Amino acid sequence: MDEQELMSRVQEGDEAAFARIVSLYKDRIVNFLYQLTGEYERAVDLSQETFMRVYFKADKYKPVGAFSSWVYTIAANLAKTDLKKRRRSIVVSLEDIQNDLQAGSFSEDAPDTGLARNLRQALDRLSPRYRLPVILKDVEGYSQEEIALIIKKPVGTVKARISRGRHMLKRYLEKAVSGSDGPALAKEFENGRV
Amino acid sequence: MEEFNLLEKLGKVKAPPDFERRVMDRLAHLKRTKAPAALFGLRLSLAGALTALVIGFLLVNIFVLQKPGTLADQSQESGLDRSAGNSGLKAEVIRVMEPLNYSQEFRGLASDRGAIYILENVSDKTYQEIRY
Repeated sequence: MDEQELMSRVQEGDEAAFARIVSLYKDRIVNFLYQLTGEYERAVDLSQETFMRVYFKADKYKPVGAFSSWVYTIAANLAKTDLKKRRRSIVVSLEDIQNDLQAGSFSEDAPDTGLARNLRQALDRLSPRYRLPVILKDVEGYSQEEIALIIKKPVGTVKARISRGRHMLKRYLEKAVSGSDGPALAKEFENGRV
Repeated sequence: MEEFNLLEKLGKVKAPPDFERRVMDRLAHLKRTKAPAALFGLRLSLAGALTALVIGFLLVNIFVLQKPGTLADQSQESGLDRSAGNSGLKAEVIRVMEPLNYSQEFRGLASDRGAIYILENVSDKTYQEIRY
């Protein structure tokens, strides 16, 4: 049964179909929101909220685009709202994020390297306006057209934001090269990957 | 040109093992709380609609239906006093009921041959209340 069929069943109130959708998307959405927010527990909470909206707003879903784009749109909107709220409240230190990553998350590989920490820091410094398209492109692997559909912006705007976001990320990382993690990043620069 | 792929080094995370259970629990909880809330909302909107209807009815009654008209309007409505129709004065119409007994009027004049009586049959009764 494909996602469209599952969604049709969810629209009729089928909880088993909904559970199947949760099972299919939980890791992708949690990871996406984690990359956006930088906090694992927050990412899990937002993921739960995303799935609640998938269920309760199921009647709003129209099978014109990919189902995953719709789910990512919900998740991205929730993350944006959350990031705006957080910007007004407190700033979490990088050490806390790293501790959180080590203690509470279920990582597939070992991200606790100096490079990962610098990347995390650089991403956190990036405005959500640029962070979202960059993550959708470089972490989730979506095309620019799909990203335009998810964030509801023209493709030209998406291209510009990705380009500008990458440029800013590069600048932040260049600054970090002078720090303790310099060698790892310098190697990446040598390889022409940044 | 090689793609920007440094972000792949961020490392991926997975959902916690009990994620699905938590989602389903939350769904069940929301379903329980959302249904009464929706019912409450429906009741509230119905009550609001009824209140608006009553207020609307009262406003129409006060400002439209019982609007004090001019003397001309009221004369036209009652079909009386058309000559005063253009005065435009605001006044209340006082309905006067005056009892008349025509039998007394005609008795003394019956012998006069030159008199012409134009009689209008108002009622079979001789004693009639006439409304001006």
